[in-house]
Amino acid sequence: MVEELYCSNFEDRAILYAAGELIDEDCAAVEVHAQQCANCAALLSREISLRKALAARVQPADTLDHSELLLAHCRSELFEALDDAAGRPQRAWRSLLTPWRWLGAFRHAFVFHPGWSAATLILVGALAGTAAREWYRQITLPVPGNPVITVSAPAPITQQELETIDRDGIRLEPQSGSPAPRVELQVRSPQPRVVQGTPDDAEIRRVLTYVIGHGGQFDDSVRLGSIDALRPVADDPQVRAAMSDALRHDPNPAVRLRAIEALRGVGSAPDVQSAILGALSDDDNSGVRIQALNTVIERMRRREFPRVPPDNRAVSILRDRMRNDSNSYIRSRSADALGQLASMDEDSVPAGGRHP
Amino acid sequence: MPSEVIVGSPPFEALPNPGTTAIASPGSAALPAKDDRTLIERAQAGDRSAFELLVQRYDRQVLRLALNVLGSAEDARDVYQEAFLKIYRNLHRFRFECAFYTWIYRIVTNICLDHLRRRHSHPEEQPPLLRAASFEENRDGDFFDRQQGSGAHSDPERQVLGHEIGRRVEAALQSLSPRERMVFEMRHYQGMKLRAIGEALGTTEETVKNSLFRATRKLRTQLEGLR
Repeated sequence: MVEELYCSNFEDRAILYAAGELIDEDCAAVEVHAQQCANCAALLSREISLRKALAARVQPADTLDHSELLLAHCRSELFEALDDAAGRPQRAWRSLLTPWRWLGAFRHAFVFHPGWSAATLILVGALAGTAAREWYRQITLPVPGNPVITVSAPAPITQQELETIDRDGIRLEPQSGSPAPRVELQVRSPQPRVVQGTPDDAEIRRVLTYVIGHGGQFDDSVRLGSIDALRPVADDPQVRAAMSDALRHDPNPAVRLRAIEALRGVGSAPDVQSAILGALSDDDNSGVRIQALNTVIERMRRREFPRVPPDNRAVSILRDRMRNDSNSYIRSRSADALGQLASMDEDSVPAGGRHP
Repeated sequence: MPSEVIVGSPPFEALPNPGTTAIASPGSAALPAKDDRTLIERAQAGDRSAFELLVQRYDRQVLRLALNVLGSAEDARDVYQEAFLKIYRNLHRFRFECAFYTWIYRIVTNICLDHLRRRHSHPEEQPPLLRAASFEENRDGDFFDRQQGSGAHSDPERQVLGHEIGRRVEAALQSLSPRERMVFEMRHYQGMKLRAIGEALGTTEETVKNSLFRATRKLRTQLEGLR
């Protein structure tokens, strides 16, 4: 509801007007009043000027953590603190709940009961066969009652169109209810047209991967936005390759950092492993190296990197970082990681000892 | 499948903000609540990787808020660490009664406010303030008059003036009380609505509005005095 506006209550309204907190009707009332009263018009003008001056201020966050090095440090410290907080006894208790533990128990039980083993195997096979048949029917047959429809796709985006999209020709908008943003592309050559879609669409995905790989054509915010947009489909080989490439070659450390984050949840594909190890070994930004180090350690714990020397690149890079990295955090964390990995290796050696 | 919507004249004018191609960052409030919910439930069940994903989704904004309000990398680092450890330990208490980012902001703003209050009571521990320069002292006209049409980056004098404005605004912001500072930061630099700020600070929209009025008046007075 629009309140009556007088000179006496104009100041508060002018503050809210400049802050963008008024609804359209209230804004109109403020503007009308300012046109009729010179004092209030001056007051409004000063509020808007104050707002401009505040907007022109360079925010401390932009200068204190321009390359997100501090963010990477904070994350490392936090995850390390969480590791400490988790504690070993709790992990041992929790391992009782893991399926592997129970499978291990059954395995020992079956050794002494071959009849049970055979019966269980037959039962599991029958259940799997039935489920697989049903699943195959569901994915191959149309739902009864619904007609099969054919949708014609718009013309695919050509290489020439890709090369002529400029920074203003791509827009990413978050969608409510979905982690994937809506992408709008404005293509000007040879014929102007707009293509919309989400990163689930192959064509949109192709454009976004092109954006990530072309730092000269698109500015940082577009590349960062494209990586975020592609994150839900980072398992796609094309996307994975583009992100690995960005991690190796993008000129902006913030983009490289974001690429590592996006690749963090991706499986153990060799190109991804190689890009992450390359970042740990060669990136000139310590924030990126820290994030790469954390990712390598996490993956080694999950046994996604082979850890057996001497042909193990990950371990040799960790050793190299422990000795030679200019960043003390990376040196000490690499040493910790090597120590932890050694103890994990010892834990995993079966009774009877190692090979000499 | 992508859809082609317009064929014809270039529709660039139709875009509301053609220059702003930015997507909401993973830390932004615009992220879908449903997706958060799955991660939160997994994290509450003890899934550490889900918690790490939640951290990565919100920590940029948290660190940014702490850096802007406290102006010190060391303090911001402490706030980050304290806030997320607190979130980790209390995650089981989160009952989806408010948005997750509101809950996070409540924790972060409380910790930032503690830091600011400590500084106010121990000013000797305050980090060095940005110098309030005397560059403009002999210039004619009022500070606000000189803002008209500013923003060009081509003119070196304008650039110096821009830095000057930054220093003065920074010094003026330091004069606010901790709560006013927080409200002002969240409204002007984090883009939060007054209602959301109220939820984060555990107070009403009306109280937040009054803090904003007081902060704005103080800033105006501080900046007006500079001629």
